[in-house]
Amino acid sequence: MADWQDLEESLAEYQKTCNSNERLRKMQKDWSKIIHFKCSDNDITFTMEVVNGEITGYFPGFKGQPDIIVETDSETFCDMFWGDLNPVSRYLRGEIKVKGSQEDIMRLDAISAIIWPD
Amino acid sequence: MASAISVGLAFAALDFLAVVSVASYSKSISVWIPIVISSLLVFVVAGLFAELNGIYPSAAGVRLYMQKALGTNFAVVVMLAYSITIILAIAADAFIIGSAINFISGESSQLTYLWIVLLLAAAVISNLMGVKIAGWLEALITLIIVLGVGLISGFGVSKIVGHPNYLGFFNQSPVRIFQALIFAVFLYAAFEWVVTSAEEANNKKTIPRALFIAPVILLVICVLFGVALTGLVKFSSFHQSPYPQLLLGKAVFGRVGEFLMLFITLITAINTFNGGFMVASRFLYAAAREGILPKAFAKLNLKFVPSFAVISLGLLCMLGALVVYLTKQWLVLVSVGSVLEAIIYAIAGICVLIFRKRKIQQKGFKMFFGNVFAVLVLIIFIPMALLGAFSNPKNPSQFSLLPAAVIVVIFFLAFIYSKTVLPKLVKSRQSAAVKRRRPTKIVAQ
Repeated sequence: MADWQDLEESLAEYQKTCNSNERLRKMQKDWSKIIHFKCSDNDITFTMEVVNGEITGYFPGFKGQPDIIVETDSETFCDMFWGDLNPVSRYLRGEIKVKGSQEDIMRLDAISAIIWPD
Repeated sequence: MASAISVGLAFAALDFLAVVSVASYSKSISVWIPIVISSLLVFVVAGLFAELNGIYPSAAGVRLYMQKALGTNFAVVVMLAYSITIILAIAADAFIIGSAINFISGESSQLTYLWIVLLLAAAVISNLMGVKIAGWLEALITLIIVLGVGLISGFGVSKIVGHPNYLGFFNQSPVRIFQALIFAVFLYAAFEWVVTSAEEANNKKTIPRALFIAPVILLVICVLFGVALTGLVKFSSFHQSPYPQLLLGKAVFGRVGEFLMLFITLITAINTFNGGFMVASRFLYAAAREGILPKAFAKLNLKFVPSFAVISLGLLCMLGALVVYLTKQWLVLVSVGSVLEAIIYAIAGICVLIFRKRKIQQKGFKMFFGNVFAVLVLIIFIPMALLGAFSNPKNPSQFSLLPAAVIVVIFFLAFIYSKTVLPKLVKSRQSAAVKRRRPTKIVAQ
């Protein structure tokens, strides 16, 4: 089970990788969302803010009205943000639960596909 | 909105032809009876899908239910076969719409395929450009279709003269009655796709509600259309026509009615090509991301559209439409679609039985007497699928091997793919696995 320190480390890496990817920034320039994350194996929750395709911040707890809500265990979150797992398989198996529009879900997955192509 | 999505997904131009098949088997004007009976069966199926959605509310929908209940390989084969059928259905729709435009314009029938190519090319280009139909517009289009077909057909029913035998359906053999039900089930095909919107629904009741409301709406418009068509247009005329709806429009309101029905046919294309292409291309994208299809299908353009998937779909649909255009066997696709839907409904029944046996925690809708209804669905839909595979959609006095042959080929291709190409893709993905990026945590002793 990962703790908030592990998650924060993985989020920092994710933010750096996403924000430095030019192609991704260009594709996401019209995308501004608030995403809530919930760990199913502990009480940790956190929020990520995306403004015009740039991850501008992440905070512990829920903040603001979410556009997307993601729930899975803390280890999966860490692996996902480090790029060590392809979230689609877990999502299609129901191990990662996502609430949001189909387009936003696809964009969220597409981020992983673009910054860590197979 | 979810109900409108469900109706919009189910009601395509191909449904007009499905009514023709039902009419062939139901002694014409009593066509309303198999449509009503099949709606009762579909309500039971709706209950099963509502329960499955409650257990696994996911955009993966049917694929996830099958994977969890019956294993990944089985799910992959069935979904690949389902995808091929969707492509054929879009191709058939393109053929019907192209034929309808050509008929109204009075041009040579050889130009029909040109219209088909133009329609599909327009669908591909708009998808690639990321043109999306807003949810409210999709709902509005569905409303126009429902009201348009309903009103024109309703007027048509009021013009029926004489005392036709509305109950003639029951003066037939049980086999023919059962065959009529098979084609009637197709009228509701794809209504269950609304479960893929599970993650967009804010209320747990939204999807189950849509699953029950949509069949009611489809029932009303199909009954009205079927009775009006069989009551006003000669069987020999609509039986051979790929656009029976235009014939009804003309019978009710003359040339104006023809154009109204053409307009309705054209706007069904928006839902079919927009919704169908989007669902199918996302399925291909997700399958490629999972490693089930080659990586090329996961390639996104700057608009976040899986471009290779969309272009491939367009080309395959053009090929399918060409086959329909050359062979004139558009009704065979109704048979194929009916059989495949019956198979999917039977699988839904199996999934419910398995999940109930496993005592999977149920958070949403739970069907009362679910086990009984699930078994009932198996008892009805498995024989229905078998009989439908050998039924001639045009001629009830003959059996046909063609639908069975098409279905066998589809499943064979899916099976061969899962045994030959898929293992290579899995192996290639495993061997390409990169070094772990996440640093290993060292725990102090």
